[in-house]
Amino acid sequence: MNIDPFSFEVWPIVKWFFVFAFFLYVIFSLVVIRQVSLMNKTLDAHFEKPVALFAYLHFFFAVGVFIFAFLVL
Amino acid sequence: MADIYVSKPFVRKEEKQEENVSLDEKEDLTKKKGPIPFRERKSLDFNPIASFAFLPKEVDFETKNRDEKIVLLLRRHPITNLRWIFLAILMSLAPLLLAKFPIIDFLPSNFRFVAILGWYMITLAFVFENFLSWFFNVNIVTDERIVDIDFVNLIYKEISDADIDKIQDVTVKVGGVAQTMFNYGDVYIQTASEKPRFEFLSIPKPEDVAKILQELRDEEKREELEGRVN
Repeated sequence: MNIDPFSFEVWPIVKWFFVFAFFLYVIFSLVVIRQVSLMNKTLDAHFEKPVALFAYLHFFFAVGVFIFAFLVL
Repeated sequence: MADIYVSKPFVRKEEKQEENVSLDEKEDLTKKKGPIPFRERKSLDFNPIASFAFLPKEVDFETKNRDEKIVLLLRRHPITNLRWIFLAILMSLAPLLLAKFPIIDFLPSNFRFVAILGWYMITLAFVFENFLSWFFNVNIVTDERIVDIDFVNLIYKEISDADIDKIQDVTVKVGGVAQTMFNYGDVYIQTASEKPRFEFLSIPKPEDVAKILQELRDEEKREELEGRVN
């Protein structure tokens, strides 16, 4: 017999734990955008566009996952 | 009136022979003699993700002076990235192992899916941070100075430089199988500036870098002497 170790009240807490972790990740991805912009200012090696584009994609992906986690969990 | 004997100008045998050498052959001779001074070398097509860029025209950096010319742009050899690339591949394959080792099976399916998504985000951040660290931690040699740009973490950067004429000693260190096979190593530069030691670590062609630094130092000395004479 499969016994669920968690009661029903535990999952909302776990959900908020997940959502908070993804929120922190969104903040981190914002810091990465700022970091990339500073790095591009420090060294202009004609590769700033792909790097900045990737940083923004990373941020939008993080926001997407945050919203997804908020809605699905 | 006594005749004045005017002798032919003295020409050494070697010089006489050299006159007969055609221009093309002369160029060959200079090639054979040794390293070509960096000013006579041609800049190669610039690749923005190259780890050894000689006379990169398109590159600029924050503290560069207007008339300063970048001679070398150096990054760690690409082979040094293999460790984190391998780790990233393992990290991206890790969720597949969950089929054999169901360690998160106690979670409901939606939580499991979001947890795996979170894992891939961490992997993505790991790859991106490592790439940024490789790409932006550079060593630059200009015709005036050496510059070391270090981004230690997300919010801390350190830019140090020293004039070429402050260089006292250059040490090249190549050791180990990988460094010998792929021709990369460390160049340690002892200076009389505020930062006494510059470390260009795991850079490609360290001997060439040392040679170019030597040429630049010689040129600086020559310029200094010419300045004194004038």
